Amino acid sequence: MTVFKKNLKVFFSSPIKLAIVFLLPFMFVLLFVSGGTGNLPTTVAVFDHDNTKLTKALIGEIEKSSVIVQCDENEVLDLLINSKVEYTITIEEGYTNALLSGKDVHLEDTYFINKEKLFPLMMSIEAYLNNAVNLYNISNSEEDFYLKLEYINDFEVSYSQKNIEINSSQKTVDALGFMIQFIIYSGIILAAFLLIDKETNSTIRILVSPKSLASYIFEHFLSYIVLEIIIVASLLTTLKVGFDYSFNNNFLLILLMIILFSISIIAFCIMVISILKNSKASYWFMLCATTPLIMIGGCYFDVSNMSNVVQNISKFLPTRWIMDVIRDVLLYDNTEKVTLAIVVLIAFTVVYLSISRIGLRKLLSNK
Amino acid sequence: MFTIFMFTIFMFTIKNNFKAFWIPLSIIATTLIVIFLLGSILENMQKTGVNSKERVGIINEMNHPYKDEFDKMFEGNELKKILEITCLNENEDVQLLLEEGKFHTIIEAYYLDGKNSINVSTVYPESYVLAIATNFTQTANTVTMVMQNQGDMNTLEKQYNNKILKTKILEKGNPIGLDYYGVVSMLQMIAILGIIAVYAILDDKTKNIFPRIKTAPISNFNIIAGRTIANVLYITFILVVIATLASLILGVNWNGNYLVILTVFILFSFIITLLGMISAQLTKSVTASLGVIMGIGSVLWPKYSGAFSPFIKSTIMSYVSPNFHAKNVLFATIYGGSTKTIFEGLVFLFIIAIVMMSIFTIIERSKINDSI
Repeated sequence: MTVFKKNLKVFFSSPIKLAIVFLLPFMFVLLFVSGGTGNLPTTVAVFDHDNTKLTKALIGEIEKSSVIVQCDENEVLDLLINSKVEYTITIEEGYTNALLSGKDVHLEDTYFINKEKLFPLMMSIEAYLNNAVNLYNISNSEEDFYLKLEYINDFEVSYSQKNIEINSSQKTVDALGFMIQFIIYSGIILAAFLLIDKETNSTIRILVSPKSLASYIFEHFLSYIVLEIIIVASLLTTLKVGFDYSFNNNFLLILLMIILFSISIIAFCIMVISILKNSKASYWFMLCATTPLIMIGGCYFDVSNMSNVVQNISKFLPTRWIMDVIRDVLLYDNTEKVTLAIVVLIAFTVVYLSISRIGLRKLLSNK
Repeated sequence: MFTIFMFTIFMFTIKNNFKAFWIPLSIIATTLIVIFLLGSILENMQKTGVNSKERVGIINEMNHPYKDEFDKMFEGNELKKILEITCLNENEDVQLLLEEGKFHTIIEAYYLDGKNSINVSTVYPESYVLAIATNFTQTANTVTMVMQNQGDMNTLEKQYNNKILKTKILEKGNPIGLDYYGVVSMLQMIAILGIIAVYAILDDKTKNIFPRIKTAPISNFNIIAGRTIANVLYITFILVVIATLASLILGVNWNGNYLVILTVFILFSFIITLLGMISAQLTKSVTASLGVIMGIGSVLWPKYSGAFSPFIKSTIMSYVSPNFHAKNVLFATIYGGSTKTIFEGLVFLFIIAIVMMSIFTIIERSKINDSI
């Protein structure tokens, strides 16, 4: 077990590798998931040139779900580009009078790219002002109208809302998406041991000794599995205990599935190293493969948002299977896909390892 | 300053970089695929208005006619396209259901003390349901007030239901998904090329070039400068190729001032090269440098430029991200932003480059002294 022991020793004696594998994932989870990224309230700039009771009431309504930003009207485009403002509304002078007298007038709004995030806000503005005009049409006077408008949210029906800040399962899914990315990186870092052997010609030296190719690959693979189990178990336990992320009583299942996934990734990295000629090419291939593997595999976005073609392609990636299981188990408490995912991940591992064996044999015969 | 020795190193590095032709080919292909995938997803989201269906639980115990109207509203096909609706019993523990992630939003609608009340609990501050429930409340109250006044909603001379908002398209158009990710994903993916700078530095170390050049007429400044210029031009060239192909194949909008675009590309390439060189100096290992480049260049910096989602806010962290400034300058020149924004972004990129260059110089000096 010389190769096995050497790999463990080398890994634990490198502080930088340890930091990348154990600290970096939490840094990113803290920054991206715990800090909150996707569900920030919309920043809105309202340029009210009319300044009436109705426009003030409208701004009050917008303020309930968004953050109003004060800024210069001439800088709108720059602020939209710099992501300082997401949505702007301009209310022209005389708008209220024109609206209430039934004229076809509009509020001018602009955005840069985030249209889908703005739909609920747009819907609220449309409904509020349409209801306001209907109330105006039955009011006896302007005073009566504004009195009625005050009751628009609390008359026969009242409305209240509560934004809940919790470590929901969705947050856990987001965090695990990042963890999967770093588990892939850790796979690359671990498989580099084999790469170093190959570069320094240790592979050849070891293989001409009584050690067989199968036992050489086995020892490398075993050391990676042990290290991956340590890495995955520490990452997930810290996420659960240290950061209080919810796993809905399925912690052990998720842990085992991610360990299985990490083994398939290790096998993938070994395959790349055994096939490609040099370390530069191997690193490069793994670097280039990582981002599409993560994107198409659904680590950041649910795969269902992608086209059918991409969804079908993603079925050939281990990331897709692990993320599907994570989503199904944590969000829907559905374990139906688990067995199939286990079979598929094992199949990926076997295929990758078989190709690695062929690659290493070829390398040996060439030398 | 630009000596013949520096030129030799420059040519040697350029030749070495282009010899491995699979590097530019793979980065170009991968970047175009990522732009296409993410761009298509964003465009789809912009059409439907949703990322994924929001899971909504409803407890409806209001009195007549509000209960029926409320149920009818959620039975509509339009809402079913964006929401996954489940009816719940009044005894359900709302907080627990949200914590367990079974629902994103729960509506509790009750008739209590002679009044109907709708309470929405959500983990999404931008939930569609908030707008839907508010609209229902306001419309229900308006209709009730109208009926109390005139007996029937139809008695209104003209029931007002007009379009209120009119969107002003930006002078040079709004970016679509492909235009957006054509810029931010390209900047994210190109960071991988920092690995070339890592190899340049570590090759010099492993081949013991620095102690040897002390006895040769080539200064270490010449070596580093020659290698850096070559790598910067190489990365800039790949950026230009990606931008051109993205424009031709995917239709990504690059109609800005080409001089500004090229300046951003050069400055950004310089920063990526410096990131690779600094990580190589600090870690002395390709694997560890790879981790640093992926962590900082492919995840941390892009995050603040909106590479993972366009829903970002500019924070203090954004100002140290070259991707954020590069994105701002590129969008400003393409979509008609002011000269101030372009200038400000370029200055920030320049400052980041200077700071990184200083860090590299400090490390380099201390390492050379150590090795001698």
